[in-house]
Amino acid sequence: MMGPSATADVEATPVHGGQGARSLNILFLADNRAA
Amino acid sequence: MPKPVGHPGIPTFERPAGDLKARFEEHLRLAGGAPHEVSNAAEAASKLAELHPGASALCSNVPELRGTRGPETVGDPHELADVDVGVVRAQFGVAESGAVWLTQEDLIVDALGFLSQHLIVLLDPQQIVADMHDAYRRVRLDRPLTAAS
Repeated sequence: MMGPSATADVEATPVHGGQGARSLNILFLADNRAA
Repeated sequence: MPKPVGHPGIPTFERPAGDLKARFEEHLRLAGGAPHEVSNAAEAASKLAELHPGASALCSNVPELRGTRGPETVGDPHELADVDVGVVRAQFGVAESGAVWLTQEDLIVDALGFLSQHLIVLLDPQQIVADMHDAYRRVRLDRPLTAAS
């Protein structure tokens, strides 16, 4: 997955969330399961 | 009958020098996403609340963040239609694109990845690879996540 859902198909106007999530936030947090 | 030949070798490609995490963050922002530093589960919960203060339906697949429901309660993917925030952990990130690798095992219910209005993805900063050449070396579609690393 790369970024939130985005399209500019209609009148070249960018829209987020058309087919998926409107926002994507990445939280950097160590995975302790791997320890 | 043509004589069998071996598969071509895969060369090692030159990569730009620099910090993988910084490159990942740069490309994530270009793709419309946002990176955040948190040092523990409590900070992650605070960040989630800060980012989505009005969220009432949270579906979390990770032990670090408690949602209002978990994937184990989902009998039909349509039940996720009202999810404000979905929370998952990515197996790894790719610096050259700012992408994160998610499989069905991470999402548990695939629909969580596209029915959620907003996604929070946990990523271990040690699990960032340079590019898709490295990413494909990590991906094992023939084995479950627990045996992939």
